[in-house]
Amino acid sequence: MQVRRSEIWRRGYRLLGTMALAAISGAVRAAQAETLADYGCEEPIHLAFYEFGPFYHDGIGIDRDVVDELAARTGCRIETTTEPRAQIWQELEANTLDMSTGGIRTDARARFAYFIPYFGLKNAVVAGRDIAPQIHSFDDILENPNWRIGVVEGYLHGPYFDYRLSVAGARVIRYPDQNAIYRALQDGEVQVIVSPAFNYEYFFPSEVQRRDFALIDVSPAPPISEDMLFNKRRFTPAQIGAWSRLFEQMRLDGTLERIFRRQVSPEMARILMTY
Amino acid sequence: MVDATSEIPAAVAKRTGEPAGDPALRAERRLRIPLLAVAAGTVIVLLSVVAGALSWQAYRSAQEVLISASTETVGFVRDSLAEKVKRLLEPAQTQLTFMMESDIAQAATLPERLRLIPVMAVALKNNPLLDAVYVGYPDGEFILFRALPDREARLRLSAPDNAVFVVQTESLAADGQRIGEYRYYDATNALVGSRLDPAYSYDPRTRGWYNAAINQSDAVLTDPYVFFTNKAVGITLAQRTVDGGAVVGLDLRLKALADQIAALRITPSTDMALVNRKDEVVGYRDPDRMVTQDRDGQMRLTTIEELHSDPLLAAFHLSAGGDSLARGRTDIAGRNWQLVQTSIEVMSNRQLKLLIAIPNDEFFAAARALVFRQLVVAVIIMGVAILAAWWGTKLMVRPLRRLARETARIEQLDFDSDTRIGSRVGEIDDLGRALHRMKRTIRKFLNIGHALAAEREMKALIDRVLAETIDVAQSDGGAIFMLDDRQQTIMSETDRWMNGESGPGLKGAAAIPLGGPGIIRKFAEAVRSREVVVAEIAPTEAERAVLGLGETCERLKAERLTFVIVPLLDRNQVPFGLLVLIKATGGGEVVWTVDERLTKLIHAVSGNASVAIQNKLLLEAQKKLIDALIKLVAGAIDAKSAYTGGHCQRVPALTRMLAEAAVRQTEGPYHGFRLNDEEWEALDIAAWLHDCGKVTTPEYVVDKATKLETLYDRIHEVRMRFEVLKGQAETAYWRGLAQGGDEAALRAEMEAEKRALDDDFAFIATCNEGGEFLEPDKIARIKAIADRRWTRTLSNRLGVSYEERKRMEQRPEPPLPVEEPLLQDRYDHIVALEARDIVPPDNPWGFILNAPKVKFNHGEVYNLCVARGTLTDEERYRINDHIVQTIIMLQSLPFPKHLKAVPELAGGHHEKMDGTGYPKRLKGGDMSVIARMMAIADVFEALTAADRPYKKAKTLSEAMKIMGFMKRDNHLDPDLLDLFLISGVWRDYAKRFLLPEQIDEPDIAGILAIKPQPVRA
Repeated sequence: MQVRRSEIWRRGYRLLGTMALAAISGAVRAAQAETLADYGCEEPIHLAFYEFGPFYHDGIGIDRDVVDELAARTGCRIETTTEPRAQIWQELEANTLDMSTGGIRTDARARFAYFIPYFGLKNAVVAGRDIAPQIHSFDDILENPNWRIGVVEGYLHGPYFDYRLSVAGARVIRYPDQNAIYRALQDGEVQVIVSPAFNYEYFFPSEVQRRDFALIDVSPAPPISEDMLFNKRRFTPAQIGAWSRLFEQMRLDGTLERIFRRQVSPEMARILMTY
Repeated sequence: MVDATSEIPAAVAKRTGEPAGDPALRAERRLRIPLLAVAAGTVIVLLSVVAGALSWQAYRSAQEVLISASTETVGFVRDSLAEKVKRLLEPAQTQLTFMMESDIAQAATLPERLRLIPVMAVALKNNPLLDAVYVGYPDGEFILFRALPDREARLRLSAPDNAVFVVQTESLAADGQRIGEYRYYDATNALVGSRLDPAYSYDPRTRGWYNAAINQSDAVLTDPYVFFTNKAVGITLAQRTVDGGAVVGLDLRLKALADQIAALRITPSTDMALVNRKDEVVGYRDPDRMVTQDRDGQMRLTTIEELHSDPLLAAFHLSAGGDSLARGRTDIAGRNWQLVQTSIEVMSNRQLKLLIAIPNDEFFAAARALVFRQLVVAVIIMGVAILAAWWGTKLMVRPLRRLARETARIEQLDFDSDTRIGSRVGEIDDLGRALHRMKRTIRKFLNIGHALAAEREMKALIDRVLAETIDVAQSDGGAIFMLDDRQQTIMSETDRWMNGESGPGLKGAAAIPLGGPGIIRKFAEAVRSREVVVAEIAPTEAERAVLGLGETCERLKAERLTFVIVPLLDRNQVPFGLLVLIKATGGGEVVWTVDERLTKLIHAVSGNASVAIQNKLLLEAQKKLIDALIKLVAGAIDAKSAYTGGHCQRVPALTRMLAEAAVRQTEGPYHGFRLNDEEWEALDIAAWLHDCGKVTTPEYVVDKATKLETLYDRIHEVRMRFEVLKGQAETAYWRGLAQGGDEAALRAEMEAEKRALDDDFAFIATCNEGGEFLEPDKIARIKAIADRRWTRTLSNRLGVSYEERKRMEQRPEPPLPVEEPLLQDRYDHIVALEARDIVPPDNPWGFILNAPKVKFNHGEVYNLCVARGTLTDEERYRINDHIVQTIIMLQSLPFPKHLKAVPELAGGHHEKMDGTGYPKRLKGGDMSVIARMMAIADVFEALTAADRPYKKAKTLSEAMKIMGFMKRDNHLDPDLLDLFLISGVWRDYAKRFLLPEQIDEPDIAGILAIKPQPVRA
C-alpha cells in the first residue's frame, strides 16, 4: 500500500519534473532516446553471469530475471554470457566486459568498476548434522583441526569469514564454484563449507538432504551488500546515478523482492532485501 | 516601719471589702497579672523577639547567601551553557574531522555517496544536536543527510512514516541537468521511499559556508541563523576535506541550547537569553520567539529588543564594565528583578552575551521558605516553651499560692498547720523553708508570749523561758542566773538540759561571785556590757565544778562547750539576770555557729523573757507588798487592841486549814471542792482583812472593859464622888458637933453614911466590871444609889473639849453650887448620830441593820445598868459595825477581777445559817463556802483565843460545846463544822496556836450528832 502510494507520487513528480525541464529547456526530447543516453546504452551492454545457485544456474535464476527487468525498463540491449567468476573480474578490469552481477565492493575493484547495491548476502556455514551441534561460531570450527573447510575460489565472504579463513591455512579447500563445495561436502572432502544461506536451500532442496546437513548462522554481521558491477570505462557517474535510481525503483516497487521470491524461500528473500 | 504602716490601710480595706481609695490598692488591682500569664507572656515576647530577630537575620543572611549563590549559579549557568556549546560543537567537530579525512570527496557517484548512509545514520542518531550533515562538491553536486526525529519533520519533508532520516541529493544528470531528490530510510537503513523534487535546487557553491570553507583549511563556524529547511535556528560548521575535493558541513541546531536554557532556569520565572554580537537572540527558552519573519517573508533571528522581555532588555543594557559579570536590579511592573549579564565564549574568541533576569520573589523564595520554616520551628519551639514555661511556672505557682495562703494565715495568726511547703524550685523551696521557719519562730514566739503570760509562778515562768529559748536556739541546755542587787554574784534560778532533763549541778548551787576566772569572767562581761557574749571554752574541772557541769559534760561527751550568755535587762536596761545557753561541741564534730541570726533570735526571745520575768518580779513584789500591807492592816488591828490579840492572823490560818481540808475531800458534800490559785489568794486576803473594819471602831468600845469606861474608866470619877460624899458626911458630923449635936449620934450617923457609901461604891464598882448578869434589883439599887446627891461647886464646862462643850451648851449651866445626883444620865452624855453614821435601809450593800437612835450614850446609869457585859446597845452596834465597815472599806478597794469576791468572803463571817446574822442577814445558801468557813474560823478562834484580856481562854471542849450550840441554833454551817471536826483541823490548829492547858479531848462525836434545829420560816 505504502509502496503503491510512493509509486504514484514518484511518477507524478517525475512527470512534473520532466514537464518543468521541458519548459525550461524549450525542447521536448524523446523519452527513449533520453533513456538510452542516460543509462549509457546507446551500444549493447555486455554482461556476464556466473553460476551462483538460485541467482544463476542453467541459464536461469534471479540474476537473469533482474537483468531482463533492467533491460525492459531501460530499453537497453544487454547481451549476456556465462563465465567463471575469476574471469569476470579479469574482464571487467580489462574493459572487455560492461557489467556483471553480484560482487562485493573493494577499493581495488572500485578502481575499475562502479557498484550498485543489489541484494544483501548472508554467509553461513553448512555442516553435517553429526558435528553441527558443536558449531556455534566459526571459531568452534577453527578449533577442530580435523575439519576441512570448503570455500569457492575468489569469493569474498565478508570480514567475519575472510579474517578467520585466512588463519585456517591448509584446512581451507578452495573449489571453483558453489556446486563444487556442496559436492565436496556431500562427498566428505570437507566437513564444513562457507556458503550464502540461500544456496543451502538451493543445493539441498529435499528434506532428506537437509536432515543430513545443517545450515548454521555463525556470523553476527549483517548481510553484506552484493552489488551489480558496472565497468567504469563504459559508464559515467551520472549514468550510474540513473542505474542506481532504477535499482531503487525496483526495490521500492517490489519488483526485486518478487524476483527473489521466485527463486528462494520468503525467508531467504527477506534476507536478500536487507541491504 | 514605713512599709508596715503603709500596708495597714490596704490590708484593712481588703479585709473589710471597702472600696479602696488607696492608690496603691487600686494599682494592685489594676496590675494583678497571674504569674503563669507573666511567664507565658514573657516567653512569647522573648521568643518572638528572638525568633523575629533570628528570622530577619536568617532572611538577610539567606538573601546574601542567595545573592552570593546566585553568582555561583550564574557561573554555573554560564559554564553549563558554555559546556553545552562545547558539547554542541565538539562532537560535531570530531565528526567533521572524520568526514574531512574520509574519501567522501572521492565518492563521485550517487551509490558511492549513499554508501555513507550507515555512518551518517549513526552520526545523526548519536548527536541529536546535529540537524544535518552534508557535502558540497565543486561540480555543484550536494548530498545532505538529515534525521527525521519526529512526525513534524517527516511531514515537512514528505517522508513515509517509517522513515528516520532523509538524504537530499543534488546531482547532475548525464545531460547536465540538476536532479534534486529525496531518499527516505528506515531504522535499518533500508530505503523506504524516494522522491524527485524539481523545485529542490541547491548549489553549495553559492553558499557562504561552502565558500568560506573551500578557501581555508580551518573549520568555519557561521553566526547563528535560521535554517532554510526547517526554520530552526542553528549554526553551521564547515570544513574543506583534506584532499580539498569537497566541503563537509554540519548544521547544528541551537534548540538544544534553548532547551538547556529552559532547563537551567534558576526559578520558574527566570528569563535567560543568549545574544550574539549583532544583538540577536540565539538562545531562548521559547525557540519560536527567536525567529522573526521579515517584511519580505524571510525568517531571521529576533533581536533582543524584539524579544519584548523587559527584564532581559534591562539586563542587556547593564554595563559589564570590563568585568565578566555585571549585576543589577530593576523594578518592572511592580516586580523586582535581579539582573545579570555575562558572556560565554563559543569558539575562537566569539562571545555570546548571557542575560539572566531573576524575579526577587522567586529568587528569595528559598530565603522566605527558610524564614517561614524557621518561624514554624520557632512557633513550635514557642509552643513547647510556653508549655514548658506553663509547667515550670505552675511548678512555681502552686507552691507560691500555697505560700501566699500560708502567709495570709500567718497574717491572721493562724499557726495550726505545720506543713512545710516544698518545691522543686530551689528559691521557692528556700522561701517555703524560710516561711516554715518563720512560722515556727513566730509560733514559738507567740507560744513563749502565751506561756510567759500564762505562767503565774515565777519559777515555772523562768523554767519556761529557758526551755523555750533552748528550743529556739537548739542548744543542748542552758540556765538562768539571777544577779544580786549589787551585781556582785549570780545565783542559778533554773537549768535545763536536752530532753527536758534538769541538770544535776546548777540547781541550788551557791551564789557564784562574778569576779571569778574563766567562763565566769565572760558572765561578768555580759553583765557589764549588757550585750550577748559568745564564748567557746574547754571548761576546766574547777569551772565545771563551779557551774555544776561535770556530769553534763561527761554525759554529752563534750570537750568544749559553747556558751551564749545573754544579759536579762530590766526596763532601765539594768541587768538583773543572765540567760546562758550551752551547746556541747565536743570532738570538733559538732560546730554551733552562733551567727548574727541566732544571736538576734536569742536576743529577741531573751528580751521577751526579760520583760516577762521583770513583770513577774514586779508583780510578785507588788503582791508581796500588798500581802505585807494586808498583814500590816491585820497586824495593826490586832495591835490596836489587846482584846482581839492575834485574831486577824489566826483566822486566815484556820480558814486556810479548813479550806485545804475541804479540797482534800474525796466524798461528802465537799467532794469536788476546788480552789484555784486566784481563789486561794482571795481566800487569804479575805481572811486577813475580815476584821479590817475594826479600824473604825473606837478603841474604847473594842476594848471596853468596864461599863463606865470611855476613853478612860469613869469609875474613878464616880469613886471620887463617893469620896466627896464621904467627906460631906464627915463634914456633916463636924458641923452637927459644932452646932452642938450629939456626938455619938452624929458619929453613928457619919459612920453609917460612910459604910453605906462604901457599900454602894463597892456595889457600883462591881457592876462596873460587868462580870455578872445584872438582875433588876441590882438595877434598882444602881438607880437608888444614883439618886444620892452631891454638891458641885465648880463649873463642869471648864477645860472640856469643843465637842463636849457643844453638847453641854445645849442647856444653860445651872448656878453653882449645884447639887447633882451621884450618877446621872445627862443630856451631854448623848452623842448624836452624824449623817455618815446613818446607813439607810436601801443601802447599796444590802445591810439590814437595827441602828440605835444615838451614836453613843455615855450616861453613867445607863452604862452601869447594862445587864450583860459592859457594852451598851450603841456600843454593841458600833462593835458590830466593824463588819459593815469592813465590807464598805473592802468594796471601795479596786480589787482585780479575781479578787472581787474578797468583800463578800470577808464580810460574811457574822452571818448565820438561819439568816439572823449581820449585816445582811444572809442565809446559809446565800453565802459562799469560804465565807461560811471563815465564820467557823472566826468563832473558833474567838472562843479559843488566849490573849483576850476580858476573858479566860476556853478549852477545846468548851469551845466545841459552844460551837455545838451554834450548830444546833443554825448559826454555823453544820456540814462545814462536821468537816472541821472530822478532818482534825481543830487539832492541828490547837497544836499550833493553843496553850497546852486548853487542849483536851472534846466530844467530837457528840457535836457531830447534834442536828440543827429546823429553821422557822
